[in-house]
Amino acid sequence: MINKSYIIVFLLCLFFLSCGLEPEPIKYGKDLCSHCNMKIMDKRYGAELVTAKGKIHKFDSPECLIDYIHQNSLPASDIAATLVTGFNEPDKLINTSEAAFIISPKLPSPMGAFLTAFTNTNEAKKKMEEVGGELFDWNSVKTKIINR
Amino acid sequence: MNNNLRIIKFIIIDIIKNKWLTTYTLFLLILTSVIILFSNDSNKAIISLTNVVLILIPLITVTFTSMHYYNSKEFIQMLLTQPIERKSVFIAEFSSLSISLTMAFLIGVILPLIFNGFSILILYMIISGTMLSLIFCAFSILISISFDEKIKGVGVSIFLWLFFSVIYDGIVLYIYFAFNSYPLENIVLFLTALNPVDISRILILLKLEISSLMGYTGANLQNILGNKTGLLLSLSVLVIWALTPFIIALKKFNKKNF
Amino acid sequence: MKISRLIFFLPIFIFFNFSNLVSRDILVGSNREYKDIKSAIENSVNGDRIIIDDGIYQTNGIIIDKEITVSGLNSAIIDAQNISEAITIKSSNVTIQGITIKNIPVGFMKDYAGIRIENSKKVTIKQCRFVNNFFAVYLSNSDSSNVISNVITGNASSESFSGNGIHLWKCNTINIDNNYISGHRDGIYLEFAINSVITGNYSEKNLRYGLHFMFSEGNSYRKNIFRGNGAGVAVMYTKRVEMTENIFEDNWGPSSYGLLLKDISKSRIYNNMFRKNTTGIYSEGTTYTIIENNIFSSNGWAIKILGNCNYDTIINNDFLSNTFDISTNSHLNDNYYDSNFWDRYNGYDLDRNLIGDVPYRPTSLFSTLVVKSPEAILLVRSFLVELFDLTEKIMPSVIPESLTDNHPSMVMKNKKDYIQYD
Repeated sequence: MINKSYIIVFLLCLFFLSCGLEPEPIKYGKDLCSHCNMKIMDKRYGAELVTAKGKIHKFDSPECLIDYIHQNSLPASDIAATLVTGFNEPDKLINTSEAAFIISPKLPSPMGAFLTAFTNTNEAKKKMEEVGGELFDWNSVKTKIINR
Repeated sequence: MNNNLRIIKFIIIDIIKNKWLTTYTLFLLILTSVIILFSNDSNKAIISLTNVVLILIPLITVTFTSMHYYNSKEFIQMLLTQPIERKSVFIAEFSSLSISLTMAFLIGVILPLIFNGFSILILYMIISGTMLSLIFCAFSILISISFDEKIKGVGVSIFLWLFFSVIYDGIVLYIYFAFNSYPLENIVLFLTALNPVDISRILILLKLEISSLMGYTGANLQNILGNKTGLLLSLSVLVIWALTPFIIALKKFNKKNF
Repeated sequence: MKISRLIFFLPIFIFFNFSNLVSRDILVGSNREYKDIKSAIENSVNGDRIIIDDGIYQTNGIIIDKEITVSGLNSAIIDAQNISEAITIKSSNVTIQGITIKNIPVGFMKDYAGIRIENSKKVTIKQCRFVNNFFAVYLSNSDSSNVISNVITGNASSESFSGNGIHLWKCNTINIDNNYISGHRDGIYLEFAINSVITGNYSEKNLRYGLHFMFSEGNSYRKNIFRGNGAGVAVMYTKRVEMTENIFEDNWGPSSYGLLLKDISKSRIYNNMFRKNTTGIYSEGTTYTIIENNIFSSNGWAIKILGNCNYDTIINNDFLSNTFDISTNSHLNDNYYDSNFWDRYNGYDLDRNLIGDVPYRPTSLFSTLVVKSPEAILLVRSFLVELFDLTEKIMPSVIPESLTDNHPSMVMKNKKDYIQYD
């Protein structure tokens, strides 16, 4: 009896140890995109999904992240966090709700959706002066990309 | 000490006279030579040999050890009536069994390999084969001491072998698939590394080209186990697996009422 | 006889050559009329030929907006000193030949290229060398152009940000022949490019792919060699791609493929060699595609074909010494396997028609498990797995029943020799 409970406690410990909901930095040139299976290369277009159960999926572009959620019909309750890197600040993953997105035919993105993320609206507008396009927030860009 | 050696020598001679060990050695020798001769791909030969080391050697070790223990029970009882420490008797029994089993493995598997000129892999083969022989020998003696009935003892020993080589992996696989939506990678890796048979298998596979088939998991493993620290780490896992049953068996033997 | 005739015609030939073309030769060099390339171009008119002497020209931002030819003699080197782009071509009918372009800077905001071709037709880049560039040749919105016999070497590493060797964006009818490309992100990259032909290139040691198609229909590539790239070739979101007589080799590593197919259809993979790749072909969402007469040798997985691949045909291929031949993640199969040679096949051929009398199942339970959940690979070669595969062979329940080759060949279908490059 004692042995059994030891084992259960041990397994539970292991379980909780591994269950962090923290995002993980993307290893560019090594990690594969969970949606399109390509190596993630471009820091300016990194994206990540953390599920409620703590599993981490990495993507090579925001459009892959959106398509992945859509095609696997993930309910919002299963998603702990969605993150992207900003075109203007490629080394940091930020929450998608903070990010601003533009879709501009003059700014190609890795998976052909012309979608680029910025860390804030000001940065996005600054780039739009140069390339034009349309400004979106996370919720509106999701619908836009799914219906593309 | 002198006494110890004399008993060990005696038991070893007894084991060698026993035709089983010779048959075992010859069997391994023929099997290994056939595998080496008939596979044109040295990688494939190594993989087949890995199965011999991981499956066959533990199986034969447990059967042979428990059979030998039960068969020489009377002799052990006789020894215990002599003015010899119990500890020495136990150590003598264990070391002579493990020495002869390991020798059989070295002659049967490693010798033909060395003649064929295989590289660093041989070292890994030697480590896994020897350690597995020791581990299963210790376990088997522990089980034999715990059960007085021969049938039960041999049965439990074989079950132990079955557990480590099949059932354990089955459980790991089940956990993995049952909790697939959780990030279990590291746990599965950890659980696998806890099983002496699995860690020996992975240790050998990492040295083969097949390791990159193991994808990301393999790359992770390579980072953890593929270097000297990894070798030491896995070696210590194996040593712990051998020492634990050995110490428990020794304690049991000391207290046992024959 | 022949030589004397040639000597007789030579003056006439030269005469016609000079009188017919009104072109001038403009010479550039340290002791020539023009000391730098830009001023030579400024003073040229359509049809002129600019010939550059040997030497290093430290310059950048050269714009060619006239129909001219720029050629180097032996080693004319344009060194952009990591400042900006070297040459931008904005005119049709331009030829650049025999020059070396080096040191194009890495840009996060701009794709700097050695030679950029914009909105042009009939441009030819040949026999040039590109060393240490971010992007080497960048074609956008251009058509009917050639990129021939160039040597392109980058020094991209996975840590740094990197660009492509030959990059096509919205192009039509481009010939990419006989180039050597290494050390870039993708060796050759096509996005929204159509009707292009890629022949005889050698693309190796690129970080991501040797050749990469995105949304690019109706292209073909043949007789190329893809060796030691992150992955050989990726064909994605595309229709009608012809892939013939290529070699996919040594694309070996934790996440490597010979050929990655993602959402493509109506394509043909014919007569290729897949050798020593972690995965020969990884196929996801592939439909109406024919894989025939290829050799799969010494790969980890010969073909990984996911459940969303339908109506594909896999016939007359040779499978030799692969760890796994066919793997799938589905228990259904909508693809057709027939008349392949499987070296693992151990059936018999009593009527001696060289077709095995019993069908062959090229997949195993374990390989299916692993495609579903990669971490299960930890149990590879374990006793449990061997038991699984054995039982599955005797009575299949998990692996798709129809994934069967009903006419397995007893002999190899294709010649094993293939061109050896050094």
